[in-house]
Amino acid sequence: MHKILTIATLFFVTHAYAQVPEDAIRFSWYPQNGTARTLAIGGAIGSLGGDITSNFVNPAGIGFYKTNEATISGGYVFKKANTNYRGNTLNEKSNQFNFAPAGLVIAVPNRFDNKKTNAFSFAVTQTANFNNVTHFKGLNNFSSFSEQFAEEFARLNTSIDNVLNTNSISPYTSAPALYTYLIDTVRNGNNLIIKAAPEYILEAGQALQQEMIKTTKGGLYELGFTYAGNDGDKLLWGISVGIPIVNFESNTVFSESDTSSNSSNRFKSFTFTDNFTTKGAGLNAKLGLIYRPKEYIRLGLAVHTPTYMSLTDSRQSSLKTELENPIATFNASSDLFTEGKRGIARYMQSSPLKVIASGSYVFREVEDVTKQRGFVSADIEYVNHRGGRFNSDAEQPTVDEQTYYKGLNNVVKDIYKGNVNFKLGGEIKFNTIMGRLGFGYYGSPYKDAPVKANRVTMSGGLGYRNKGFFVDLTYTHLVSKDFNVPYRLQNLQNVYADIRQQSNNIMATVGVKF
Amino acid sequence: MKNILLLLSVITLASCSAVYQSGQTPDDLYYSKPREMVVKNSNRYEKIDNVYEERQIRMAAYDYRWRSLDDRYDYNYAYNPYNYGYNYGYYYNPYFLPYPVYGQSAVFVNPKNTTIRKTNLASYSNTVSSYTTSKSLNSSRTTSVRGYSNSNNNTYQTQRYDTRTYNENRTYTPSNNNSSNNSGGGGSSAPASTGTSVARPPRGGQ
Repeated sequence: MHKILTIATLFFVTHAYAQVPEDAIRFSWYPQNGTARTLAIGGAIGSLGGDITSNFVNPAGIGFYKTNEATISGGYVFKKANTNYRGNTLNEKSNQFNFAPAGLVIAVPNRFDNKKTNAFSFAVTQTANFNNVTHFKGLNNFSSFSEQFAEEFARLNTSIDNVLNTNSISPYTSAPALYTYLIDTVRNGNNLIIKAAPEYILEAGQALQQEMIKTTKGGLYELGFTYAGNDGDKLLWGISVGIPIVNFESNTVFSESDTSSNSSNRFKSFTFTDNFTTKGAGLNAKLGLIYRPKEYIRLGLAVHTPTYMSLTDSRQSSLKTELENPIATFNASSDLFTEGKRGIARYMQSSPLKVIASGSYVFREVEDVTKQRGFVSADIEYVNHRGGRFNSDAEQPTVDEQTYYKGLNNVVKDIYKGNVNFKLGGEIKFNTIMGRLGFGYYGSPYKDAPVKANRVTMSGGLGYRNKGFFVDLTYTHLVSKDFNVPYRLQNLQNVYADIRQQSNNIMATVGVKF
Repeated sequence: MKNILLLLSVITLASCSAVYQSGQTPDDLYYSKPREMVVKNSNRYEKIDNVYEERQIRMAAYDYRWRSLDDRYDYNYAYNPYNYGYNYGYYYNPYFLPYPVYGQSAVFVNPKNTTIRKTNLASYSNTVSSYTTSKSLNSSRTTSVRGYSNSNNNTYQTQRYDTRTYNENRTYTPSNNNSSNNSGGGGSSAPASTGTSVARPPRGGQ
């Protein structure tokens, strides 16, 4: 009977449960992306409409279209990050391409009532850009990265043999740590205790040199299908169905080394490499209204439902440990403990609800473009970051799965909060040439954080529209304040890196009317 | 995704129209005039459909082979001796197989380890005073050490070893039944592993 159960276990993939609270805000806390025109006005497109970005902000804005349009956008980002980890500062530069909305808008006139029009739009955009490098290092005499492995192994309350096997219950962390003796059992009086080798350095009053390089790639993309209606330019409505596509890769290299001159204090160094990818797709809906109480004034309201995503994670880790007394070097890959394959886990995740209220003053809403003068627009949006949720993808999740996901969702509710984002921008129009300025503020999603996290954008741009085509060019300066906790321990204060990043983004949009 | 963007860019360029090339570019953000609706004569298409259908009926009346063109009366594949599909009427077919010959009767799934990216959820209560349900996990923790630390000093060093003892939470006493003690939600409660044991390399003289 035992053999049958063993074979059954090997032949059927069991349902996985995984994920960490930080995964929750990856898909909810990011600056507004859009066409060059939208970025130039700080992203405040909610009540304006007439731009393909409306697909992803307020679909009612598509209702302003009475002509057909095809457009494409792209840009380049120059990033400079300044990190401070335990008093040590580092600078890191990185560059990347940035994709913005591209798509079509087809205006549909009404054969019976020329005051009522409809429009359909299909667009694709990069909602969030995950390309980034986080690099920090510093001396730490307080805690070790390896202690989380010791805590985990102690919490598992299981034998070393149950961890060190080809179908390990902890193949990426505790198993490599035990295999390379980064953590081990040692005698403490009458008890055997679990101890990490770097703790010998900390107990001797010495510091550890810690360094982390985290490279992330990919993005959150979205296909948007919008249908919008315009009732006499008085009331506009729109509904959009979004299909987000997730492509995320994270590669973290964390190293720790003994800074003392003692070559027999049991620990020299370790390097832990953790690579995982998250891929999948989802579904959401956006509903929007724009009301013009009188000429020049537009008021908008949009609701973005939570995005429901089916995601698959793939993970692999490796560990190299160098010990002293006796001197020895050990290497281990998680492949040793996962049948030689990368681990796979499937799960459901939902991003939080978003509500956007907006208003704008548009000077000269007339057909003759030579008489159009400009506009001022503002959006205020609320994002309930504590509403991110994780669930098993199994039809009948086990009790353990339910317990883990319930705990995970509770932590998300406890460490995050709803935040308010504010966007303001305007345009001055001189016949065929336009000048724009914008500002955006994205508040902190953290309920409790060691730094006041936020994101601020300042932007400016130019546009040219004539003879059936248009081109826009925008420069955006983004200042981001955030923090990174490289590891968390149950009984000690968390060490963290203070991260301040500046991004210079050049974005261009080209489009034609037909 | 890049292919989609490339396709859209091709569509964008291909859709350049001469409609507005001689004048202003409408700006729908401000205001634009609706296009005039062109109503097409729908009867024209109806007539074409009728002509096509009548011609098909006439051809089918003269020669049965043309009847297969009529998709309203699909060819009965049940009589086809080369049919190995799931169609109805298989009892007429002497060569019937219950599944396509090129198909698989069973799917074997390679075992994969699916335990990934779990975390000790109780460690998140380290920063949040309102997350109190897990405090009972570790009675040795005091509120004075909760929060964040970003500097090296003697205070932290003292706190570290004054407030933490190994005996309370790092004792190696594996239980045979592998029951989990992860009341904080962070620990694994996976059953005993079914894989082959992986032996540790010798530590080297200790």
